[in-house]
Amino acid sequence: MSRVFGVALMLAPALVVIGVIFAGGLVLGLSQSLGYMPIIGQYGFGLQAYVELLSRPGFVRSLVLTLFVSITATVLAVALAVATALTLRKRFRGKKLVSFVYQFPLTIPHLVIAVGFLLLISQSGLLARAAYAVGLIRESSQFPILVFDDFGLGIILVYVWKEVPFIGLIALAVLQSLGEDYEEQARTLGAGRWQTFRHVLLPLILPGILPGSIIIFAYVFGAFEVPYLLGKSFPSMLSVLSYRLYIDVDLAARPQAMAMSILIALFVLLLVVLYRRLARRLVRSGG
Amino acid sequence: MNTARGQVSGTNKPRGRLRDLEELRGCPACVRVLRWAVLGGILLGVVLPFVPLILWSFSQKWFFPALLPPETTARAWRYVLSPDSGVLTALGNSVAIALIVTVVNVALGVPAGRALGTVRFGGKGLISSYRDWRC
Repeated sequence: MSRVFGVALMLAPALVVIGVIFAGGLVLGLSQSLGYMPIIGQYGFGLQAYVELLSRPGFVRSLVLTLFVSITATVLAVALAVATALTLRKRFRGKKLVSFVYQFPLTIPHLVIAVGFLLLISQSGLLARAAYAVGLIRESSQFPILVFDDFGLGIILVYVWKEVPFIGLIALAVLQSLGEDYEEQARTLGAGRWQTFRHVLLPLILPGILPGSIIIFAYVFGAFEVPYLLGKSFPSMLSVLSYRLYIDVDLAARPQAMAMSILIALFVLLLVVLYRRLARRLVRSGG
Repeated sequence: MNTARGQVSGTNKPRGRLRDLEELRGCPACVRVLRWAVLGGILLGVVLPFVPLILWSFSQKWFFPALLPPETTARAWRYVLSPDSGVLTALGNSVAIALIVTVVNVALGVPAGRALGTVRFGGKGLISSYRDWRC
């Protein structure tokens, strides 16, 4: 009996915070999305905001863009993380320096690096100036559009930059705990480098990094500041659309903003469930 | 797919992409070049976005075709470090908030982690959803 009490006591503080802030916010958002806003004299419950939102001309494009950006950023980050982790686990001169630089992005705020990339890859950015200096382009408009573009390329770049070390450090930890025995065994049996990676190392790393990739995916799907800074105004990512509806001077747009947020949460939940299924199958089939 | 697995190299050459990679195996120089390319890519990729940030912080009028700022000035830095800008106060606020958040997080998270990690009880899976994320 006292043990049950002890467990409850240890869990209570965390659960209260999660319950009040997270669940409370969700309930408030849900009720506002259903049109319950006493502050402007609306007490009814209905799905009107959802219908209006889904029939907005830009909604589907925003959804597609958001999916594209979050999936691409996750896949690229995982691929680069595995490639870099495989290289970094070996001994070489200057390893300390490279490892330090590698982890550096973890400490940099998204906002700072978004501005850095803006000054680097925009049409008047440093890369465009370098291209002009070597004669590749003759005016800034000839430089490819990488920010405020249709595909969110700048946004993807920032998230990849930021999340590669996150996944990479997990992969490195797994690789280091494995040691070199499995690899040597595979090589002794005649497997090539690629075969050793594909059939031995990758299946051993994947279970470790897939949860991390789910976190990145869910994060990018709902993230706001980078798409807000580097994204086109139309179509914008879902989070930016939600923010615009939220700050609309017309308070009647508030239910739509809330409906948008609820939909983002539901999408993420649904996609994470699907992703987990896929990942499990991938792991069982040996990568 | 797995036809080449277990074959002793040299006896039965695998075809296509695998053959290319088999050849890579016999090419330690290629592997070394690849490794240095990856390491160089890491260094360059991480540092590059900071270069324009730093350059801009020392420049005033720096228009398009100029690769480097035509004149450098510490004006922006003097402003940031002067008390009028409020940056130092804001920095203090950020540090204070970060410290408070860390302390509160540890205070809330460690007991919960202990409960979830060391004791078995009903409904645990529901609370610790990370367990279900493992694949």
